[in-house]
Amino acid sequence: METIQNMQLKERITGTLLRLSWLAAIVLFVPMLSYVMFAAMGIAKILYMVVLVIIIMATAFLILLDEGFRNALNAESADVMPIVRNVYQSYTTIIYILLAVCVVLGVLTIILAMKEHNGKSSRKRIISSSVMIVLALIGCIVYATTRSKVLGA
Amino acid sequence: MKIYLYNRKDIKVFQNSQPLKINYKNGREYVEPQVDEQGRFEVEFVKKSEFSGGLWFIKALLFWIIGIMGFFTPKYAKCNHSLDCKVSGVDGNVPLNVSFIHPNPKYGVCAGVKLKEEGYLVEGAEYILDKKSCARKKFYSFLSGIARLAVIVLAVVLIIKAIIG
Repeated sequence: METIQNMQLKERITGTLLRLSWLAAIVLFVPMLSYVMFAAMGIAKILYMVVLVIIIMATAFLILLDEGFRNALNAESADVMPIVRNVYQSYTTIIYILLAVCVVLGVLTIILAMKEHNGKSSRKRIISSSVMIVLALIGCIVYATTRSKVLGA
Repeated sequence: MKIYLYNRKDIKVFQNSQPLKINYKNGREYVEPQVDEQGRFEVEFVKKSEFSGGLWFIKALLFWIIGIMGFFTPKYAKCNHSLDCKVSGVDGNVPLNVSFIHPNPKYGVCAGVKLKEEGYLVEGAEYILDKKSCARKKFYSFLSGIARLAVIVLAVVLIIKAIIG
């Protein structure tokens, strides 16, 4: 006879596995996020220059007489590309371990959720786990396709 | 026969001490209990706090560790009320609709089980406050907070030591 405590324990195990698998999936996306941040910094620099040009035109070029403003035009942004390269390099082996962790935990969660027969809760867990596995696979593919571009640059 | 369940949350359904499979279709949960030769059935709706059973501390500690300081394990139910409701009757060839109204600690409401249909025997329909579980949960929350703070402080100290070193 299955007691309520056993059922609660099994549900807690399934829920914990699901959360840990999502954590692994998010960690898997770190190199891609660093690459996006690098790209975003490029966009931020462009916007910064656009704002400076607007200020110059609004002041009818008179602000160019100010030395401080001229220095702002020449300011260089920090080079973050080496950091992104380091992250990509360190993830060479880690990413496949993370993918394996995501898939194993995800499949375990799906199996346990199907055995629970817990109505809406089981269905939510199965869907969440499936989405997580797909995202992890996509993350790996994106990493593999951008790796040569980042490390080769 | 079918019994539709509304707002069930974490309530379990048993028949003859065996858990019933809870199905989910078209946005509704339902169970299909067995009926005897006379068409009679009896189901039990049970809810107990996870802190009410034996070895609760060891289980909570284990999941706190595995769930990385308890952040990656499902939250424990706020409600420390228990429910043990028996519904019995004769299968009238119409589905039964059972709604659950859960206690709200903020408003102090001790609700329970409500049947849309009449003519069925309902025993123990109300939630009962489980004081022991309440006290255990408070103790766990306090201990968990202290432990998290201790781990974070330790991590910061080790990082500072590593940077200085």
